[in-house]
Amino acid sequence: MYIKEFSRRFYIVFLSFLVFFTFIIARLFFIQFFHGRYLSAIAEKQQSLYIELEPQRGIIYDSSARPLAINIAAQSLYAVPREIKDKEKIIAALAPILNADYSYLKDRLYRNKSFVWLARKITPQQTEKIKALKIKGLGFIRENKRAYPNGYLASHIVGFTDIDNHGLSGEELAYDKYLKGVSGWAFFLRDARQNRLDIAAQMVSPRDGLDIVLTIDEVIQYIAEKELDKAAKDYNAKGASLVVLDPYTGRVLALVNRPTFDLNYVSSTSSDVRRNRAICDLFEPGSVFKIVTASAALEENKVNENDKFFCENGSYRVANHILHDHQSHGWLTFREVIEQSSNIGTTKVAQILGPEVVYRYAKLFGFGSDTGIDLPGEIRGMLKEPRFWSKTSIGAVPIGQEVGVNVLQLATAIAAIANGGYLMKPFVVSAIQDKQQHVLRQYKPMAIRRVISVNTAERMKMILKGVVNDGTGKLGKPASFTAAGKTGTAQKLEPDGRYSHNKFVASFIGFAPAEEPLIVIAVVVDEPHPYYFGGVVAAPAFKNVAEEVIKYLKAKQLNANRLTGINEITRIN
Amino acid sequence: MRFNRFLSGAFFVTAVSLFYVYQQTSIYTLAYSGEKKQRVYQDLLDKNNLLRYNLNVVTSLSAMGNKVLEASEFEMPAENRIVKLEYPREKVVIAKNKIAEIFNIFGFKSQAEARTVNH
Repeated sequence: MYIKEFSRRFYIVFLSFLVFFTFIIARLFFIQFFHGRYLSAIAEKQQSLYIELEPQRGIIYDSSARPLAINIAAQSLYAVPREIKDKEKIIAALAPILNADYSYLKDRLYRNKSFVWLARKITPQQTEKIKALKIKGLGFIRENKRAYPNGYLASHIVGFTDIDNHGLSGEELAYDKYLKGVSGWAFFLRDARQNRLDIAAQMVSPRDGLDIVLTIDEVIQYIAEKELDKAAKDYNAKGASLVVLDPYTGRVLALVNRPTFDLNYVSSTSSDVRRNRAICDLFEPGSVFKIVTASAALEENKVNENDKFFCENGSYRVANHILHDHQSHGWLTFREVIEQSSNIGTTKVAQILGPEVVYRYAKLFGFGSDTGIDLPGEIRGMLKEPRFWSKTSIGAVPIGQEVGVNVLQLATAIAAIANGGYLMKPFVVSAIQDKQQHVLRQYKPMAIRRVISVNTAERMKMILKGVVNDGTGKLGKPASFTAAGKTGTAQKLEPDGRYSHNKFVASFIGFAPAEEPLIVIAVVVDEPHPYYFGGVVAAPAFKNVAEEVIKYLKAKQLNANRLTGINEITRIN
Repeated sequence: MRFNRFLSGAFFVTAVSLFYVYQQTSIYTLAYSGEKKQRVYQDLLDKNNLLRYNLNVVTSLSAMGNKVLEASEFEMPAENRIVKLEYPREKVVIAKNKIAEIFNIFGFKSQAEARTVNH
């Protein structure tokens, strides 16, 4: 009986356990095979964190490998509104540190969200002050911020980015696809407190942006900035531009505009200031355009330097318009017509050539077309075809009226004379390289076309040298070497279409030294006063820049030769 | 014997399990330590970068130019603002002094003139 009783209890316990284990196994089976994927997904979401890995934006260097645009780390402040209890106290504490509006912070902190930005990329000083407050619910995320160590230097060329490091102007925009790099991503593990761990379950590394090297020389740019600043301030100009080119390669050594702005404080500037006037602004060039007419006349063998022209004592009728010279002249040689910038003499030369020839040479010199520079926003200018010329146009276009140009077009045109007759494509970026400084792409000088023959170029050089030595450009003559160039004083158009009597554009385009030019400089000053002649306002700026830049280039060459010599001596020894 | 085998098996499984748990916790401990070191490393890199940036700012030509201008009291005027004086071309006629002419007979040496001091 005892054994029977024992067996029954045994079976009851056994059955209980069997049922229990069957239930467990069934539950396990259900969880593993029917609920498994769902639970794995929740666990993965809980345990891992998807993070986009920001690439480093490429650095912009000048021609001497000095950085013009770099990246620095900056902290961005965020808040978790749901975790913040005393919001008013925090707003009162943060507003003075961040220089933010009370209403802005209030709007942000009262949102029913788990994450809101309060301020992006703040300064280290602001970061330290906020950390010292030890407020729960606030946190920092490290981001890369674009910084420009040279401030306003070459601001219109380098350009700037937005808060998310997308290029918005200048080379930051033009070469954004090279500079920005490619973002990576990773799934990092998280602990139970949702802190990120330095273990990546999966990862694709970001590809940093490529660096770009400009043709701009920081020293030449600074010299040009200083001189243009002085000219613009001395003559109370509305605006001014200056371009320095290498005539044989088209490399832009400096490009300056006034007014200018500091690249680190873009948000406080207007679009008018940020505009790259040297390529975006269109204006009637005036007498500087006479280099086209003169070159055409010599190239077509229609005139030579000693041919005489009667300049009508300063007043000459062309159709129903009276053309005037700024100073009355009688008989002038062709050379003197250009040296003294006689409008009447030039018109008579143009009448010999005819509209088609003048138009053709203007096109050859690059007017009415893009220069092709690697900067955004270039305006191609305005040049009417001869079929649209009026009867008075022959007295206007050859002397630089009824034509729209930008400063860079003037620089490339005079460079064509300086280098023996080739129109060179101007360029600002010389190379793209990776972080190990391997050059991935090299931009080489490109000749667009031959404009005039070598012989015509030499003759033009002599005439333009005469402008500086004996003509209207005397104030542009450097002290210790020769220069050649052309002055221009163009009346601006009023809104009613008439030429103004008190608004002018003063310009000087030239090259130095005259015989073997090292640099081409174009200076344009918008609405200078009280003086407005190109020979008075712009020519001295040309002279000052030429003197300083040539001194610098010669010293640089001397240093380079010295180094080559030292290396050679070392090698022999 | 069976019981011994069972015990050995249980012991072995327990040891392996404990080792696995230890390994997993070590991974997390290393991850925490790695995260901490990464933050320090990144902080140092960022500070280095910021220092380089500040150096670039201070040594930039624009900053140096401003410093020179601030420090210098003398400003060189632009050449077109310098007034050059020229002597008149016609000869200056000095009026004759008859009394002086009489006293000239006492002048044996050349007329008095300032002499430069040669160091």
